[in-house]
Amino acid sequence: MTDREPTARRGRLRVEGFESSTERSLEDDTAWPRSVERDREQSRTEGSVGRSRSRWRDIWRRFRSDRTALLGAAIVAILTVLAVFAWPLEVTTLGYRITLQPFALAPYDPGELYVGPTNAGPSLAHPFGTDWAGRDQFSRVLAGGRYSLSIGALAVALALCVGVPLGAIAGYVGGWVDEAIMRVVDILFAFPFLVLAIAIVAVLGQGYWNVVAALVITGWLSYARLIRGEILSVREAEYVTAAKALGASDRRIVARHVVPNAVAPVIVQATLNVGTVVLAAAALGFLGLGLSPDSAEWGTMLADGRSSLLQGHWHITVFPGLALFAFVLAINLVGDGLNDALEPRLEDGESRTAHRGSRTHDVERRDR
Amino acid sequence: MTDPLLQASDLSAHYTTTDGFLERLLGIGDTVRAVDGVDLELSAGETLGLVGESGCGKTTLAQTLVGLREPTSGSVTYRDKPLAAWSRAALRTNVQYLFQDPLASLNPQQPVTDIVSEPLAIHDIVPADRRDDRVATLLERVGLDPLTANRYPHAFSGGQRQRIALARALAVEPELLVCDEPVSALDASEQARICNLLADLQDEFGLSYLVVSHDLSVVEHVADRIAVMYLGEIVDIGPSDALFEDAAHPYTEALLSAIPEPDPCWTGERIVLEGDVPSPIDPPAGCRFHTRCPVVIPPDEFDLEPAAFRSMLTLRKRLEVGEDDWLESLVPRDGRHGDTATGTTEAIRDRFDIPSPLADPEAEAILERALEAIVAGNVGGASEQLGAAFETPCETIEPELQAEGDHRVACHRFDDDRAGDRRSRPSE
Repeated sequence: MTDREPTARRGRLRVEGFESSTERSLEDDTAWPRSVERDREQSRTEGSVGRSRSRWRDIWRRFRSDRTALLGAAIVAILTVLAVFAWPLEVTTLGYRITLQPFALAPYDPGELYVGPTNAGPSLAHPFGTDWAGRDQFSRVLAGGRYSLSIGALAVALALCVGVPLGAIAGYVGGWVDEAIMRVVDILFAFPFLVLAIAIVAVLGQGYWNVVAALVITGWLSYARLIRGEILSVREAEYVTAAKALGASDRRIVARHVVPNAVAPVIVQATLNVGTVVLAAAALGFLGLGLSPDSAEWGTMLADGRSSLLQGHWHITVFPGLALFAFVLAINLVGDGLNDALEPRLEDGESRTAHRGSRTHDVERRDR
Repeated sequence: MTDPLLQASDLSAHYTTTDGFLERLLGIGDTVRAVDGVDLELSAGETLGLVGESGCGKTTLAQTLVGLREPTSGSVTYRDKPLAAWSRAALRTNVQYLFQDPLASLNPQQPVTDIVSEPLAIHDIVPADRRDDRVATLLERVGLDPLTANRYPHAFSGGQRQRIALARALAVEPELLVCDEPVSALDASEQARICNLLADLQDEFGLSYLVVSHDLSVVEHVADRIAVMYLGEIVDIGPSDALFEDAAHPYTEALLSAIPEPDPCWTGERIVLEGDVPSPIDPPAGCRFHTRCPVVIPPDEFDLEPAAFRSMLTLRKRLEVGEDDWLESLVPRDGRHGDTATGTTEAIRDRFDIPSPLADPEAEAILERALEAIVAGNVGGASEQLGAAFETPCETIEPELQAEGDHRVACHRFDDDRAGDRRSRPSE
């Protein structure tokens, strides 16, 4: 620099090195520290550069890599298989008896009285012992899964069918529709979950479908609220505007951008809720408001076993309780794994644990 | 001049602040005049820079220009045909938009291949079996490794994300690319690289750009012409050389002076604008910049220094706000001026940098009377007195864009009958 006179003129000093010629050599900078090798490997095996993978395959790949979630899924699968094949499933219509499922894993008919001594402890003949009426506990726990699991799955599925469309409509349409739906949700939310369920069963009366109805009426609220919030935030997201700028049709925007981004938390919430609903059904059963007292439902069995427990017969409550515990725990593990799998941002291992803590906590708090 | 590619005439875009159940019920809410009567044209192959402070309506204007937002009034034409008359597919394959925040504008649930091939699929530009190859070409063109196309946006750095967004916009082979703050989310070296990339792409594909930025130095680097925006209006527009050589509008001058200069021997003066940008809900009358303009025109009747008049105008604007106990907040009772009436008027003068006495005796008398009224507690009266006595065209008449040399400026100092005022520019 030769000219050091003070001046008000700009541009005497220039910073060099950002010109296009130098940029080429800097290009290698765009480093790919991690897993680029994996991508290369994959491209090679797939035979094409950058072949697109489907979203669901990616999600499955991420879920598979989570051992605890896999364990949870395995427990759920085993319990489901046991429940389905525990005792033959028969439907009677128009006088015909159609056997849907002929297998019987359970050694005894779960409803048959006095297959052994009453209140006997675990033995080879009756691994889980027998109850006060001499029914085989092992058979009852296996078959009882039918009620608990089907109530959980049905109630959550029906609640989703009610809550998701209503919440989505509230979020999309906005205005008065939104106000109307969300005020109803607010009012129902004002009642404690279990108290409302008890009140509904008390009005409708006992029975399988009435319990399901009570759980649906109390269960759809959280989905409606959740999906509405998600849709409100996704609708305003810049990538939706970006899709509009690309000329995408409304249908494409909803299918490709809004739904995939809004639905993930709902799936996670629904999975976790299966556990909650099973617990709630058991609680109703325990309070004597669920199924009829002699039915083999885990909650009802716990209620029956209460008096036996006082007499020192621990096995009557422990085994149905363990089954309930195992199922709810497994469902929570699966929900947790889904939470991570549905969120591509959590793909890299190190951020996973930290992020999971906060997300799960959120979901659980919404649960209450 | 050839026919403009994109033209806006008297374009306005207003928002309403009405929000929520109660406000909707009662119908309360203000109108935010984000863009207010803008005329703009963009020729084929040129780069137009749009600069302005944040909140002045740049993004709203840019989004309205490409039809992402409905204008409140006025019209936008692309190739002499109103935007509404274009089919969505035809418009979107000609005009593309690059967003400010690349992470927000990329769907986090889609891998890069899907993101970049989406426009190809929407407009069926490339048959499905060749899309992957096309995506790879596009990614290579913007300087990304096509082997990383299976990764999700979160795995990329800011600059790489902006390149992905750029590849997506280029996929439709547009004629016009509107870039909304394309580099403001990036670090300095990445800014320069993206700017160079934009320039290379322009040479290669004959693109036209509208580059929106708050940073004049970025716009200088890429733009052929620059439009300066203040509070929803274009105040200065012209070729970038002319604008940088000889800034005409006082706002442009202030913006230019704010560009950092690496030269340690540089003695240029930094013009600091007083106060904040006024609210676009209720923009100032006349010239919208008059509340902050350092060279606001003094009334002809008096012989006043522009600086002294600026100070008096600031005082009056403050009086009009009319806060409670504003006198205490204005004049700290530090005992320097005593508690007498004269002491307080002196303190007010000090606070607002008003010379004592003013050069013009007649003006001095009016000011003194007003100051005494303030001390007596008659704030409204004082402000009215000052307003009636010192009337500036900046406050009453809205300036039109008028040719001044190479550029067009909306400022009363360039009115024909005021040619003399220009000579008294403080920065020269």
